[in-house]
Amino acid sequence: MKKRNKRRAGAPAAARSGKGKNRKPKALPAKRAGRKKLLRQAGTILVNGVIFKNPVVIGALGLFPVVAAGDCMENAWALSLLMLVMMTPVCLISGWLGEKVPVWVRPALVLVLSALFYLPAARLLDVAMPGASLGLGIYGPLMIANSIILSRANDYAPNHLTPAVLADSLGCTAGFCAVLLIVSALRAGWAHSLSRMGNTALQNPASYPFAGLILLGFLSALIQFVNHKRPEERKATP
Amino acid sequence: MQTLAQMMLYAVLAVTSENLIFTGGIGFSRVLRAARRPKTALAYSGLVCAFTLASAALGIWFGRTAPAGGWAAAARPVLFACGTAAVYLAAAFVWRTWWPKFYKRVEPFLSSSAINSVVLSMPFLRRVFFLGPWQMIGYALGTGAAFLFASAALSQAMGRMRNPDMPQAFQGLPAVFLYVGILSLAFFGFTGGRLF
Repeated sequence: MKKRNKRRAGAPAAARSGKGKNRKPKALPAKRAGRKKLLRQAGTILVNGVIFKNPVVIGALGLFPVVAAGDCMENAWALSLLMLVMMTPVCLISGWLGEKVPVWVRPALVLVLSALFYLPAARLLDVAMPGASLGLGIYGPLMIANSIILSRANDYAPNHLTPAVLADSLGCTAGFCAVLLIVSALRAGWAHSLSRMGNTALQNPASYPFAGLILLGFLSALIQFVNHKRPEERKATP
Repeated sequence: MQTLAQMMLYAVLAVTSENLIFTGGIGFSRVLRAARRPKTALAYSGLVCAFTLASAALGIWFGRTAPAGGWAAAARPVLFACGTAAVYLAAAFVWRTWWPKFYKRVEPFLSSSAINSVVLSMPFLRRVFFLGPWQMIGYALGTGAAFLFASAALSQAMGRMRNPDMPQAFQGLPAVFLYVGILSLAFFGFTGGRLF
């Protein structure tokens, strides 16, 4: 499932040998087993994207929305929506075009795709959350150059099968949104508690990038701690 | 003399108070990758500088041609990203065709530096339209210098972040986040508030 040249790894054995036409009844259980394996592998890729190989806290990708813009829940939901609308289609199209496009052209193609999908995403954001794009400021358009989208669409999608690409893009989206929402909730709570204590020295220290980076450091340490505790065989991913 | 002073002022601004990497948290993931390859940091920063200059020139051109209001204004970042993609393609094509040895050297970070220029220029998309050519050159030089400074600061710290005396969970990336968080706190002194 991992690479294109291993694309038949998850397919039924009968289908691989090409003798399936005469042995239809026997091929069915193998086909089901192949599908189950494919689903299991897709599930593992999805969970890895969300937790164990989270693109933000383990891959250090797409940091600016979390560090700089993720200081309140409204921004967090708005950026999550943008990510959801942009990531999956860009990765799927990049995966389908795959090896038809030369390697050196791919980064430009992915950047253009990401820019094009930003337009419907921004329109949807205006409809679903009126005024949210104003709150995001420059961080909304900067999602075009989000390194999670560009890296996964450029490096991962062209060499993998569609179910793997779909699972990876959904997993990375969920992982990004989870980290963004957790950090934003913590910063919003931090700001709220400071305002209740009557802080006047700084308007809202939790909204500055250093607060986001320090919180990300602790979150990253937590995931790393969980990863160290996992058995070695579970760390191998398809 | 005044032109040189303006250029230097914009360069100093880009390195200090408008240092997007530390004060805005922008472009940090690519700086981290550059810091892992300290030998290529200078070439990487040079490319960031060149692409920032090209992107800023493109920004000025879009500013004069694209309508200022309505959906055309909303589509400006999209046009800007597409323009940068075209600049990257042109640069890659020219270098692949006529200077293949140079292309082979810069290939690992060529696309990354082009995309980084989008990230580092987009916050100034409105302001960049009003920059003069010398201010633009100063800003691009400062951005390249800021990138070099950030990657040098991080590459120096990388070895120390794997210190075995540190708790295992904090070794590596978590320690880098905390280190950059403290550096960002120091840069906060230059800005005195949020940039954007």
